[in-house]
Amino acid sequence: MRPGLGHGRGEFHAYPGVRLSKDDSTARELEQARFRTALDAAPNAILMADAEGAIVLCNRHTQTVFGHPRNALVGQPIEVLIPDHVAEQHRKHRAGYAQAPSPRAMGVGRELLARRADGSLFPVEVALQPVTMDDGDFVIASVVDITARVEAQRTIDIQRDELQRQTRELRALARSTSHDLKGPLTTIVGLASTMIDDLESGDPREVVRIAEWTRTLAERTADSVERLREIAESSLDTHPETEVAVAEAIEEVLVDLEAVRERSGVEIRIEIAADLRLRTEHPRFTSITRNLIENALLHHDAQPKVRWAEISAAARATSFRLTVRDNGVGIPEDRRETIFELFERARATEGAGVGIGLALVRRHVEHLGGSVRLEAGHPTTFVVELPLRGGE
Amino acid sequence: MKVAVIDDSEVDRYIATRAVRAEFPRATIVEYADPTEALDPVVEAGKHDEPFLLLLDLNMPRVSGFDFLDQLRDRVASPPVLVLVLTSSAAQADRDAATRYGCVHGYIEKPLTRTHLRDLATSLAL
Repeated sequence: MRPGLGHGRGEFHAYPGVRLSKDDSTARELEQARFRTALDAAPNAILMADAEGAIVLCNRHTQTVFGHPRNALVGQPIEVLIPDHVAEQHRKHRAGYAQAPSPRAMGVGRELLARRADGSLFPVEVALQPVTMDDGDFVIASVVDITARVEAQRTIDIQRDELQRQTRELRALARSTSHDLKGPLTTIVGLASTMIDDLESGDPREVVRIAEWTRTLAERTADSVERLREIAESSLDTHPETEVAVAEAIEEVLVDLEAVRERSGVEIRIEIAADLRLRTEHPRFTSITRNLIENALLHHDAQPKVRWAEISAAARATSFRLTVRDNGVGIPEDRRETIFELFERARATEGAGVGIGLALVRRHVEHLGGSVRLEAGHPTTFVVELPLRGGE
Repeated sequence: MKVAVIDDSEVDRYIATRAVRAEFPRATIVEYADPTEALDPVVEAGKHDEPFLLLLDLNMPRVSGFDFLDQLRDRVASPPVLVLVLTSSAAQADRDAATRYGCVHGYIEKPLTRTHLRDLATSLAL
């Protein structure tokens, strides 16, 4: 055995290239100096503890990693580097390890935490190496601070989840697009065949009417494709959050929708405090309000003399609430959930939407961390809740 | 011969009606936008000897074509009507589900054409 240096029971050799004679004290000093230098040059914290768990040696990097002055650690129990809540457990593990020591990684499969001098905790990887020296059994622990790696992994996990969510949404979108856009297109094919029949049989009386239907359907289909693009993008785009003056934003939407409103004969009532502000993604908020209001205007009831839609918004304790009500045709109770699905419509009203608006509303609202629900089917009452963010 | 067209879309009803009128000029055609309104007349008409053809859309809000077939089966064990299912869906699952109803004679992808009806007439030797 090499005096004073020893070797581990495992494969540990401090510096196998150096040969020593028992009396060669100069060589021995030189060797110790090399040993220290190598130890200090290691990129990890390296500590040596005796059978009782007292630290007998640590390298320079230990100070960087743990924040303890190097000399202050020598003589301390190794548990000073371990969080309080697992220190007792660590003592037991250490006793168990002393019974059957072997070179291995500590706590495989678990996230290990170490404690800095200031009490803060950080994730580590620890490799253990038992060694036997002239003066007893020791354990050498090599500790790597893996904070950066854990954070990088966390970022990757978040991005992966987000990508999976987007893929799921886009796949569902592709499926429903191919399924439901085919409907109007087959109708257009049918209408065209009918026109050909009429022209061939020399009876063109209906052709103009059929051609007009064809054009309307084609226009609506083109509009659907455009709005589907908006849906696809709603899953992907993120806009910066800004302070939105709610009453003003809704006024802008109403200006855009004025032609639709005039055709519908719906009277609009607004209950929103002039100074109400919301920190949110403005384009999404506009799309939410636009689609809900347009919905209220399109599905008006043919019967009542006074048709109205009511828009109210207010900040509550922890959330912002937008309510859009109308006395239109209403939505049957059993459609409360499905109404938000793509291409779902509550009623077969020709020309009154193709079932995209509410699906888009839900996507936007969920993206903003909020919720939307149909509170009542008659009068139709949609309630959007959005989280109130800092700054309000 | 009597023909009922059950479809929530006015345009699709028009296309089907035109095809029927062209192929079976003497048929009486009735249209229903709401399947529930068709239940009574279908059950009643089926009691007579006159052949009764039902052109049924599958994808309708509220009461779907399948809902209608279920309700019809609840009313009459074996409905004395001939059903042609019309849909823009080419989904095999829909096709399979439709053929599980005894009264469903065929499954047609929209739009309905005179050729479809001619094939039907041939297969039934009408």
